Formats: sequence, structure tokens, C-alpha cells
Amino acid sequence: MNLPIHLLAWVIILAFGWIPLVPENVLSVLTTAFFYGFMATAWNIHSLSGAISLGHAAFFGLGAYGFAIAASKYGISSWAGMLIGALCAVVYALFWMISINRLRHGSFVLATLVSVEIPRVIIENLDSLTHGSAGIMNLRIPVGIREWYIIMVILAGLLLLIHHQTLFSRLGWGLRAVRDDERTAMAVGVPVEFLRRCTLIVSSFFMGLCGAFYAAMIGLVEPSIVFSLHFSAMPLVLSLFGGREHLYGPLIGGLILYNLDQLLMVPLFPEAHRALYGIAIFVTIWFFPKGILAWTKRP
Amino acid sequence: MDKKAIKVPYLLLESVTVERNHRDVLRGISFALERQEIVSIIGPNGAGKSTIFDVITGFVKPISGRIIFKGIDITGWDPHRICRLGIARTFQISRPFSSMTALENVAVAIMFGNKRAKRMTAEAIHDRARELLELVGLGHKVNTVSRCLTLSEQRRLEVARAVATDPELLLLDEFAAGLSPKAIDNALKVIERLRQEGLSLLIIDHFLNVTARISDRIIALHEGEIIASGSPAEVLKNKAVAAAYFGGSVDAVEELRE
Repeated sequence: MNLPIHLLAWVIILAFGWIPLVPENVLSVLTTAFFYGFMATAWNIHSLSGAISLGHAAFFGLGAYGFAIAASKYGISSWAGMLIGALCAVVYALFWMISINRLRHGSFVLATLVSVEIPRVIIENLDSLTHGSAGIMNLRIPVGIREWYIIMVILAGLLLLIHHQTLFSRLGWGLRAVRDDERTAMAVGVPVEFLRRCTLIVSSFFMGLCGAFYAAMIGLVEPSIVFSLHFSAMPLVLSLFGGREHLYGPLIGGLILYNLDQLLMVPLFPEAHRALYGIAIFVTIWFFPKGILAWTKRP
Repeated sequence: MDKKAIKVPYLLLESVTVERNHRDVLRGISFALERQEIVSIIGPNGAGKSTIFDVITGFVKPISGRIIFKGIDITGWDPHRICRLGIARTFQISRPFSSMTALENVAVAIMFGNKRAKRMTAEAIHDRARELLELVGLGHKVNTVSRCLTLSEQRRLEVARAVATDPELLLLDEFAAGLSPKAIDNALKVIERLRQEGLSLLIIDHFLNVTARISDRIIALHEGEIIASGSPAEVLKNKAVAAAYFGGSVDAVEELRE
């Protein structure tokens, strides 16, 4: 790992936010790409414990609603509101921990998929607090696109530090053992359940933060949007494409696919641009099942 | 750890009963194991031998009874805690960390199972792992990805990985299965060496002649109950054991002997 080169790359990427070289609409796409890369990295931290989740939209939606309610009902300042949103997601992760975390493989995936419905239905019917399916509006916070860009890049960089720990530290070795064989891992002293819980908490926190950022950037939340399968599936696709066992895998997946989608597919096929993600999955599984970064050496 | 340890049995199972699918697989099993003792468990398939290992190492929780190790009641503990307390095991079907090399397999076991690992440098862990792989005769395969090892090599890796957690009590499940006679001789040397280093061993094996050579005591199991226990000579002469093992009547076995 060559630290100076990594730092230099990050400084250059950050500089795009200050130097008005890139037009604002491109910068906006880049910001969203970093947003998705951040989301995929957050998801991947949990998936490194060997459990594939299709329910992270629950954390995303709760993060968005936590922020929205804190801001609109209680007038809590935007940054504190985001933290509240992220903590709402963590509370739901605690519920996962006592219920579906004891499932494995297919049953786990299905349970996570269904678990998104619980908060969605509650929020849809809690009209007094959430305005039901109409959602909450006027949440946008007064931050320019350049600032958003800088915030997203810095957050993605910070999250990568955690991602680095889940891959290469002692904890990372434990997680790798859990992925390979849970029973053997237990037999050699790896605290399997503890590791699974840690990754879930961290992952849900950042996924909730994503939701809060989304609400603050777009300006509105609606149950059918923030709890949609989109936010469960995107991180999965991006991480698989980029490479789940690489430090930059999920982030690169987000940067490549989202930019391709918005800058190439949207102008060419405005109706069907999202087909890109489906194609990406096929290509990944056929040609490089370990992700695009498997072509490089381990960082 | 000297005079006191002699009075309390080192490992003690007190009428342990285990149920699986509404059927008792172990029925009131009680036995004790002393420090530096080698005890073998024999019995036909389905007698509950591997379940004894599962219940001692926490993979299966008993519905009644107690398990006491070094004077601590470990009934119902999680496997990783039991491992850290000093009980390591191998599995009947070896299950290595398939994406890791042989060396990494052992290194992970040191990192998590060995209580001193936090004070060890990466090099020290590396060296210890290499040393253990050489002990089981895998010194030339340290960098082979474990799923590419042969079955017998995987079995030996299993032993190295269990020893890597720095256990005081080692449970070996079918360690000789699939090994050539020469490899078995080596394995027995390793076992003798581990005992001299202060380990106690509990062994499951099918080869009665191998078992008899190394065990201080043998426990014979049949349908979840202990039917005989004692020195190898006593147990192997026991009629009930012979009947359970060979299925047929005791007389048929007697005839076979004569």
C-alpha cells in the first residue's frame, strides 16, 4: 500500500470541488456517484461478514425519515438531524440483531428483503408524524453543489478507513474466516456473532447517514422512494461489480457504473438507461466474478 | 496448577444428555479426564462420538447435565469462548478456510485462539504458524491455498490449526482417517509430543489397533450410552463392546476370535 500516492489521488479528486474546471451538472453527477460509492462501501462492510443483505433500504429509509422528521417537526439543525437519522437506522439494526441475524444464507437474504416493509408500512400509516404516503417536503439544506461534492468525497474517504479495517486488520482476518467457514471460525476462537453484530451496526449507521444525505440533497422523502428496492440492490450491484474484497471495490463500482449510466446511457437511451446495472451484473458474474478490481493486485 | 489440579478432574462431564430431532443422541454421559491423559472414544457409527465433541466445544447445547473444565462450568458457553479457555478440536470432515493458504489458516487460529497473540508481532505469528505446519509435515505447503491441498493434507492442516490456538485439551475427530500407515506413525509421534508438552487429548478413531497403542483409557459408546470404559486391553475384551462393534451376537464374535 503506497500511502502518498493514495493521498495525492484523494487531494486531486477533492480539488475538482474548488477548481471550476468541471461544469456544475457534471459535478452533480460526480457527487451522486460518490454518494452511491459511499453507500456501496457502507453495505459492503456488512457483507464482509458473509451475510448478503437485500434489506439495507430499511436503514436508508429510516435515516431519511429520521432526518426529515427531526428537521421538519422539531426544527433540529441539519447536521444534528442527519446524526439522528443515522441513529434511527442503528436502532432498526438492533432489531435485526435479535431477530433475523440468527438466519443464514437464503433465509437471511429473504428476511432482510422483507424487513424493509415493516418500517415502510408503519411510516405510511403514521400520518400525524410522517404525512403518510405523501411524504415530507422542503428538506433541502442550503448547501451548494461544490460543497456537497467536497462533503461526499471526504465522507467516502473516511468510510474507506473503516472499510480498510474490515478488510486488512485482525478483525478483517476474523471476517475472512467467517466468510470461508463459520463453524471452523468459531472453533479457532473467532467471536463470530460479535463480528457480525459490529459490521451490522457500523454498516447500518452509514447507510442511515446516506438516507439522511439523500433527503437533504433531494429535499423530499416519500416511503415508496426511500424504502424502494433500488437502495437495497444498488450497493449490491456496485460492490459486486467493483470487487467486494478490495478496498476501493465498492467505491470504484459506484464511480464507474453511475457515471457510465448518467453520462453515457442517459443521453443514448433515456428510457432504458438503468438496464446498464442489469448488464453489469451479467458481465461481472460471467467474466470477473471477483469484481473488476480483481484484475489489479490486492491493494 | 499443581496439587489443586490433581484433586478436581481436569475435564468432567456430568450426566450430559443431548437431544437432536426429538431423539436422545447422548443419554446421561459422565466421564472424567485428567491432565496429560490420552483417552479414546470408540463406538459404531451413530453412537454419538462426534456429538460428545460438539457438546464439549459448545457447538451443541445439552438439555441436561454439566461440563466442567479446569473447575469452570462451561455448559452452554459459545464455541469461541471455550476455545479461548483452552479446548481445541478438529472436525471429522475437514473444513479449512478455503480461500486462505495453509499458513494463513494457522495464522488466523493463532490470532484469535491464542491468548498471547495480542502481544505477538506479525513475524512471530508467521514463524509460529510455519513451525506448526512443519510439525504436522506440511512445511513444504505453507503457501498453498488450502482448498488445493489433498484430503490427507487437509486433515493434517486441521490438526495444526487446532494446536495453533494453544490448547490444553485437544479433541481429535478421526485423525487417522484417510492417512497412510506411514502418516499414521507420524501422527502418533506428533500426539506423543503434544502430550509431553502438557496437553490432554480426547480422540475418536476407527482403527482400534491404532487407538490401543496410544490411549491410556478407552471409552466405548453405543447408542448414546457408555457401555464400557477402562484400559485398552479391558475394553477391547469386553463382550458388549464387541457385540456393538460387529453388530452380530457375542457368540459370533467369540467364534471369530478363536
